[in-house]
Amino acid sequence: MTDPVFKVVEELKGLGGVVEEIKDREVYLAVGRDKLKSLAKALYSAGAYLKTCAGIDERQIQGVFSIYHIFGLDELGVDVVLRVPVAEEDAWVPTIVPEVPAADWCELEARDMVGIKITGRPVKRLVLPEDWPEGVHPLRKDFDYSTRPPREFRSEVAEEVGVPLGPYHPALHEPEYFELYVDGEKVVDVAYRGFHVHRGIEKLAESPRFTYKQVPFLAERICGICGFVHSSCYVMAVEKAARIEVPERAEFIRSIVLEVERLHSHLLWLGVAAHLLGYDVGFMHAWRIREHTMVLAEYLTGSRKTYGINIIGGVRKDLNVDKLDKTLKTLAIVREEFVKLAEVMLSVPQIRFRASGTGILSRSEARALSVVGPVARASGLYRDIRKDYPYFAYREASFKVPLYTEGDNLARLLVRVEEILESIEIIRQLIDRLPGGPIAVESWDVPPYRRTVAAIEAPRGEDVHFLITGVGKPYRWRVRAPTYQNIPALRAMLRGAPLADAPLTIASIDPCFSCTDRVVVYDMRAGSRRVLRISGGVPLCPL
Amino acid sequence: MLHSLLALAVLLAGVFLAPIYDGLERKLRAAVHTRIGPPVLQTWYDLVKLFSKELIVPEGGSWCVLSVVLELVALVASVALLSYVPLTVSPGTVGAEVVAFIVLLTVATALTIARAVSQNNVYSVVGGFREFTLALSSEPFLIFSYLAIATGGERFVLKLSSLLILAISAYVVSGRIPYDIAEAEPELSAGVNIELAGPLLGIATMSTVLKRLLAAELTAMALALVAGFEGYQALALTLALTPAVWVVHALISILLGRTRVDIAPKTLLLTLFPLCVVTIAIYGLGP
Amino acid sequence: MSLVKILEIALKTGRVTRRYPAEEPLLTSEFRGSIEVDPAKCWGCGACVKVCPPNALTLTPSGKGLVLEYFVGRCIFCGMCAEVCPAKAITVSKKFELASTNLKDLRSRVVHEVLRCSVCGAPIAAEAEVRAVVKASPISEEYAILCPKCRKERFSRSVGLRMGASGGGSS
Repeated sequence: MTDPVFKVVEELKGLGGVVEEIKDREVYLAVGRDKLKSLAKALYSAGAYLKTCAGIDERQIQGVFSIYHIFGLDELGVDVVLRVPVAEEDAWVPTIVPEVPAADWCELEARDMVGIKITGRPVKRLVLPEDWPEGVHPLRKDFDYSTRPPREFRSEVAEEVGVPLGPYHPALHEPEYFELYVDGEKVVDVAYRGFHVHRGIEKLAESPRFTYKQVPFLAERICGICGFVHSSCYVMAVEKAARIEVPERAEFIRSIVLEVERLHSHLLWLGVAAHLLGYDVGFMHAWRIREHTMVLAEYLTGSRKTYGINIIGGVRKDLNVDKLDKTLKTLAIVREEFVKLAEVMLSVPQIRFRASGTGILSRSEARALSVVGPVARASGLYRDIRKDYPYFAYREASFKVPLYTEGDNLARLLVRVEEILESIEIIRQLIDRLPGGPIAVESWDVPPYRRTVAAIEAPRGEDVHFLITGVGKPYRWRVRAPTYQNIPALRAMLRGAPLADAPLTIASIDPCFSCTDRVVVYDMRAGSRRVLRISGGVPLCPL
Repeated sequence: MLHSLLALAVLLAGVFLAPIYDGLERKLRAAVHTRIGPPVLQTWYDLVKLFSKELIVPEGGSWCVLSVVLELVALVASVALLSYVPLTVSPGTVGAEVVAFIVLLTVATALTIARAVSQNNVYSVVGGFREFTLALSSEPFLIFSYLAIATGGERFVLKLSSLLILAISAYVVSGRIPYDIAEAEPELSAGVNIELAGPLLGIATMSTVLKRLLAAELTAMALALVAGFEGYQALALTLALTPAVWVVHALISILLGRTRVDIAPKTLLLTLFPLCVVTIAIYGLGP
Repeated sequence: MSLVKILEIALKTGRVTRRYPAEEPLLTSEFRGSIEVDPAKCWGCGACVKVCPPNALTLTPSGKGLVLEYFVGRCIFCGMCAEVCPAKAITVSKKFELASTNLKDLRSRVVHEVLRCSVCGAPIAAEAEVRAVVKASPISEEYAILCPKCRKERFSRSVGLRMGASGGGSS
């Protein structure tokens, strides 16, 4: 532990935290629920960001329920985890939202999934659908995966709404539901109901069907764009927990493929943003250039998406000379064509004036909500997991992290444009320094009941996997995808803005609802154009 | 007699050709997108398919159906009338056909807006309001410049500035990017035609395509008249230039993004209004 | 004007779309499609079944035999089965045009005969697997046709006999 970390830990101990475990870059403290708020506040003031929190049924290990609040001290590259154990008969914890607004959603999810009550704040169902019976919590160990509880229908009075956006709308690519309260053409407030595509993946990984070996393939299907990030984060978590030494070559290969994925993801987003602004030429050309990266990904891994090359302890496919050669050739083409396209796109007047000055997220709002990825970097927060908590081979590459302060849609666009160029650079450097050797460990063993936090910088931002190992399979696997962290910021961005800017603003956080959703349904009717109070959905960020 | 036959011929040709021109536009767009794109006859295939579906009357009832049909009738009549205009243009007089043309065009726009705003669908209503905003920011100028050219002012500068106003406002009437705000799905609450399906949508599509034809023909006709042609020569030139103007319109829509509903009227008014003032000033300052 | 440059770019690029299915689809040499199990090589050991993440491969007893069924509808085309197969019986093809209106087309099976214990008749394993194991390692055939229980019994009896023969009765 370095000195600054030591100081923070001492301060937390002074406030009532008890150190449970100190690992290389993780500190676990147990804290009573009466002291939780002051520790959370101290951590936040020390500059920590909230990564996520997870509700866990630890009755099989320690006979209690726990909620884990996972903080990250970015500047020091250390995770600080506050664990609050509570007895089953008395399962409640106080909210830390007043101190750390970013904890809003994950507290509600812990309440939904494990049944830990949260006091001191308005609560609503976040993930579970309206017709799920009370008192039935899916992530408890006594809830079998194949259970299908009876549905309890509740009559809900649908209030009049401004402009409904979703759950199905041609402008949206995944089902999500925003309620935009409008006054004329101005958005006055926003409510969001998501989680329409919840698939129970965390529970599935705990079910008898799965073993450690098979989960990477499940993880890869969390997202159809950043799947490799999730499978890499999962295997990273297992390898950290079990102290498996992954061969260097495998780490390089993982990093290269991760950056290839970033390229395809950002180019995809750029095309979508252009389409939303009516500039279909930009959409088609961006995706034409992206096609080179998709073909490259297939050549390197065997599949255009869902690469399937991650296994615990390494990778399944090697990069031979032909593949490296093809990579460099493809990157050269992509770079040349992309630079031209970016120049053209940014000179289209409609794109410039619709993206600049719209959807502004101020630095303080961004900090309070612990937003991640390009959204954070466009609002002046210098956060990038590849630099703050280096993993795989990123220490071997020197690259810039773009930072803008305007916090508008154009800033988020420019961050991604620069990141594409940086990614190309990173891949080139990694190929240059690719070491020889094996690509996977011969054999591995995972001891049970070890915990880790693993994080990877996905194209959309920080992806966090919190893992408690079990026997033969994970005991608890919590996935917090980057969009989960960024959606609450939309309220700040959409309020007071013209309605016509809403699609671009929503798209500018590069939402990946499949990643985020773990569901929900709402009922609405086409309504008047008066300003109304929020009638449902989860009010986004209590700021 | 000859005249009416000619008008009929122009009408039929226009109605037949408009979807073909649209197909060509889609092919051109595809080429700029580096795609193969749909076949040139695709718009006709779409229309045939739409008309083969069952007629579903939207909530707006038979008034809705009537307005859709009337709009098409007005536009078709406009196409026919447009062939009269170059033949009857004479300086200092405003012919009946010239006025009728304006009336029909305005009626068509009004019908769209009225229908959209009267639907029980928030998307349609907001779309209707957006269409209204755009129409207010462009059609008066279209009428003004069209009248200026049709009444045959002599001075070249006058003709030129009117031509400029007409070219811009005619493009806006064609409902293409950057001004397709009323019916653009990424704009969220757009959807002038959202309640239409099947044959009704087919009629609405035909109307859209005819509006684009009119926009191109108007501009072509203005060019012919400003260049000094008249009578049958002007008509022939108009018809010949129409596809060329259509291509230019297509290219503009391909190369630009969509504007925003609050910015569009501002830009248009700030451009067109001064031009109008200039035109009037030039006229007022004598020959 | 920079934005007009897109026309130049488009002109130089030409058309990038293909008239599929009239033209060939774009596949690289590494593409993973559906798998094919060679019945002649398959042992019926179930290693592939164990590793398959979505349960596309299942091994179920059926009547007197053991059936390995591959259901393409569940397959995620990861190719793990081909990697772990000890008999190298699974090949990953490049087929991806797998849609069919008949569900039966999506299932393919390899039926194995099950070797039964020559003493008690309990099922041991697929005949092919036992044969392959015998070929690879020096087990005498007479033990190979016994189930583990009977094998243990016979072995302890033979050890006992040997001990009895050399000692001629205990103490």
